Amino acid sequence: MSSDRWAEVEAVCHAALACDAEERRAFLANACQGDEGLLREVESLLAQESSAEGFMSVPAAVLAGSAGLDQPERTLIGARFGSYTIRSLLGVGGMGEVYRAHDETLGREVAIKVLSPAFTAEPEGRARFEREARLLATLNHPHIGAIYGVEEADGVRALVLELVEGETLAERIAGPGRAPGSDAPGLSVSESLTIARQIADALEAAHEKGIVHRDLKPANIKITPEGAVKVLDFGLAKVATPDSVGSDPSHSRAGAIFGTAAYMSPEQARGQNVDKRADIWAFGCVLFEMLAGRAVFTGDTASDTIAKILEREPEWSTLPSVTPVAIRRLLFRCLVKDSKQRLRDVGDVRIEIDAIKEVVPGTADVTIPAAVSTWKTRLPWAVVAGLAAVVAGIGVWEARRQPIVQEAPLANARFSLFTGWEGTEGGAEISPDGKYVAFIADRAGEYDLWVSQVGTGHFLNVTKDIPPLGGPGSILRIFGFSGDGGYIWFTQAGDSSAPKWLIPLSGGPPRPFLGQGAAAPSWSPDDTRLVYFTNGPGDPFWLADRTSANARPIVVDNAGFFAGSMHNHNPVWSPDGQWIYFAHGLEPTEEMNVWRVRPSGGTPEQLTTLRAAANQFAPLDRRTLLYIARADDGSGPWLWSLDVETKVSRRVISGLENYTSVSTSRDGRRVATTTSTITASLWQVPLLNRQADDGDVRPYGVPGVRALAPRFGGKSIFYLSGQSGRDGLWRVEDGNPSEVWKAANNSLTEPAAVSADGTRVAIIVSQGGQQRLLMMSGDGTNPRTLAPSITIDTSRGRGSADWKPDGTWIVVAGADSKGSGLFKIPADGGAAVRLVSGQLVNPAWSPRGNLIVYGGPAVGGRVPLLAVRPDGTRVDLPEVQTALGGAHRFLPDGTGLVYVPRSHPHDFWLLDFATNKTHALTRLSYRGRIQTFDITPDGKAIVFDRIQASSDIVLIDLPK
Amino acid sequence: MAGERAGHSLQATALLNEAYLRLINAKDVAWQDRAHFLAVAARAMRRILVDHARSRHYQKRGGDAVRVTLDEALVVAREPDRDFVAIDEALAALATVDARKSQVVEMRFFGGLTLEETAEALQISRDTVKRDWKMAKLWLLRELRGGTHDVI
Repeated sequence: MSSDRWAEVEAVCHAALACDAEERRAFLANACQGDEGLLREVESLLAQESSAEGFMSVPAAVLAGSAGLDQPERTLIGARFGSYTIRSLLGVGGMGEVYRAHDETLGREVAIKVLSPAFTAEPEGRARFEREARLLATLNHPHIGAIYGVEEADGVRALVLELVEGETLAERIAGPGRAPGSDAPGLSVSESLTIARQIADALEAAHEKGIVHRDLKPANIKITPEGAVKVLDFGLAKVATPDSVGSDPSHSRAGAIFGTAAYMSPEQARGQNVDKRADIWAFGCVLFEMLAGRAVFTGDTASDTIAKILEREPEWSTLPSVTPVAIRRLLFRCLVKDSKQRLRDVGDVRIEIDAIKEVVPGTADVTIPAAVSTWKTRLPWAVVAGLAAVVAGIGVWEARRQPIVQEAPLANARFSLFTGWEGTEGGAEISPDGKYVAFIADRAGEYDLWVSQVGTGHFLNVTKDIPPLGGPGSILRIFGFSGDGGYIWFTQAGDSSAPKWLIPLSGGPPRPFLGQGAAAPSWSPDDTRLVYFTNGPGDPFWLADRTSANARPIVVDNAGFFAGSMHNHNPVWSPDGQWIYFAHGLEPTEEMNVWRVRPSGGTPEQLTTLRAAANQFAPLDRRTLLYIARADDGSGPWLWSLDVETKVSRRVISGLENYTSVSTSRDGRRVATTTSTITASLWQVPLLNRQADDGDVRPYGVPGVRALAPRFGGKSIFYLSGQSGRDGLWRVEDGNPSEVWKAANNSLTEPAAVSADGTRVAIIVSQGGQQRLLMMSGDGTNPRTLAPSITIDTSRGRGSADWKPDGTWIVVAGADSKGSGLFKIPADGGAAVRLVSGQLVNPAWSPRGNLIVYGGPAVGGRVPLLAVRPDGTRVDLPEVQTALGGAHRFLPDGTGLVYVPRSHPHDFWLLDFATNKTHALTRLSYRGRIQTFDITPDGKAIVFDRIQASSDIVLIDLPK
Repeated sequence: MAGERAGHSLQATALLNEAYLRLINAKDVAWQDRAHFLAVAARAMRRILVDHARSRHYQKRGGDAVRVTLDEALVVAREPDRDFVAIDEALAALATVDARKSQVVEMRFFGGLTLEETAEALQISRDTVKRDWKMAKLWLLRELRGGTHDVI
């Protein structure tokens, strides 16, 4: 919900609360004139009014402390309760715990439902409760779970109920025992009808006595081992709670929360009066669910579900095709939202079912009455040239398509491989008219910007005569199309702060465009305005004319938004030009989320809480935003879609490929994305008197088809390995492999930090989007978090932690509440000590323990090596620039530092401490990117990983 | 902090002690003023109470308890304000709609602050706190009612 909308809802609510009961109805009708959505929203909130008074009136700490029935299973089990002996806890339901007990007097087993003290408190409530319970006790029916009585002892009140063995209908629908031989979810038609008939029977008997169930759902329906149906908890929802809105305010403490949203009738969801027709609705939901195998109305939150109940028609297509027409008609009449138009007598249901059971179910075509104007399309699997894309969910298209509200935004899409070249392509951008795609590829030997017109198969190297760009995979956009699609802008050398150039699509020389510091320009959909940010502390946003003239800052009313440590990236316009989407967060810790703000400024609004490096966005339509982000556990990156109204994100495509870029055409009908699959393996090259070459390189064998990030310690080598983009930590000791940390717990992306003797290991795990340091024994036991106040930096470096050789300290690059820096942490626990401040990476502790070498802040893809003593004093090093993400490790004897230089990213060089000079150790050709390496403990070889990403650009075409 | 409510039990005191210790040990936090302190304390209380409830919740679900169905309105405390885990989650959802109201609830319910203390901590008027409190409770109750708080 937008903040404007919320303010509106609030205002109406407050005003309505000030009215008395009679005035309120009129006031609401007036205030919400024509706006059904507003009325519903307000009503559903006001429905909570009577419960709200007492809700949270006592602070949590006091509630937690107050004794009594806090842990009833401890106090009650085995105890006597009146004439019953409590046997065991059966479960917890909506109103209290349910126990199995033995009736000592009559010698039978019963169920005892303990009620909250709130029900027994006021004398008025108690009297009403008894009246109702007495009425319920008169219900004597084979398909209704009986109430035997009410028992009170030791200040505790309970309902004594018939104990019904067997599974619930919910379990039966979910579990095995469905239609034999069929893979379809749900029960067979005949079984569903048999069960439904008995439920209808039960409802009829109760309605005849004026009793309404109010809370009918599969969890409340049991099927005995003999196959008989028993409906439980009849009418208890009413018995156990105060009356609804408008009742005596002395009923201040709320009763239990009851009624699962999924089975609530529209009038229940609105807090209006409820009668037996609510049971008919719920019955329809239950029958539907039996046939379809899943709930008819369901959502991620209660509000989601309620919205569907009030606004959306059921997806009739989910009913199996063999469902008889008569059943569909019955369901249709039960699930009418207006209770006045709904089927009103359960007797009719019973008659209908009886009639059907005599007819063989056919496969007749269904004619749904005109009032429900939806139709279904079933989604084909798209398999293209070795690329298999699995699109989750089935899309149902509404007759009116603005805005498109879909379960699966890419339903019915056609996938095609745009480039299947060898090597790496990425960062695909699509022109506003959808006709051209620009991307970075190393096909010509170095990274260039290429453009192609879709369908021509003709590719043009745009930057052939210009110095190389730098690879794809930059967090910040480094090129794109201009608003009119006539130009491509790009930055040189992959440095997002460098000046931007425009190059005409039709050919011609590039010309300067935006100056130093401005980054990621994005044109508005009507091509009149431009938004960009300046790369610096806080990354503020600027709005300008389409030519970049008249730039003015976008002012937000949140003072901390552009504070020095915050980052804002990659602004992108919504298709209606009303919003700008962008990434906001603490970049070094990858806590980037999707936010939006009006171009005119104001209050920025947060849209995701994934906190997992969301950085590229492309709007599909006014309501849907596609973006790239990792999952909470660190796996990915994947392609996600965000519904900006409900703020619900879901992964769009499930499969093994990672997705590393996304871009959409202006009409949202064409998406360009980059998929990549990564292979990783370990290799070794010896340290010789001469430069080692390709002939000296050998594979380093460890179990697993995928291995990366090697680290030595004691007699072991540790490395990451796994499948499906999720890696765990493995160890080989004396030839014996073992899995030290399971990928299922938390996917790892960083090399482990191993103590010199190999007995302890520190890993960096993603916990809820934040990276933390976890220490454990070398075999994976006794894990514990170190220095919880520090979040670890994993965005720019590899191996962000290292041990002091004597095992007493760990140095790590990260950030605490004061900012980024290098910290040393005592290995046996304790507070972190800041050594150096700044966005630093990759600290390595020298074997003699007196020096820590680390990477300084990266500028334009170059990382300078810096050094510091363990007490924080700086040490000068000869000038060495490593590649972005390149690692450095000490030789075991401490005489030098091996590193991967910026100038030669496929080779190892040595910084000799004796002479302070550097020289090349190897001369290798490119066979994959070197990400992490370590030196064998005997100092004789370098073991390194080679990562090869085979990436391709994929076009996704959506129907117009 | 919650001085005006009488009747603390030993358990409540122990929880408060833990909160106090956590705050004291956070040496690097600069206490700008009392308001800031109160806000941070409320957050700490929330974490402690919710973590505590979560671990108890897991115990409750194990052992003899029959696996209850995967039903939406499943595990709810007898009184809604006793289910801290559910409230914590509902609060997180509220924070994406209206961050200030979520903070008000955090301070009033988890921190036990008075209306005035909350107003001071958030730098808003007492009346605004009152209105926020009212709306937040309605929203939370609706969210808790039938929401999915099953901690499987």
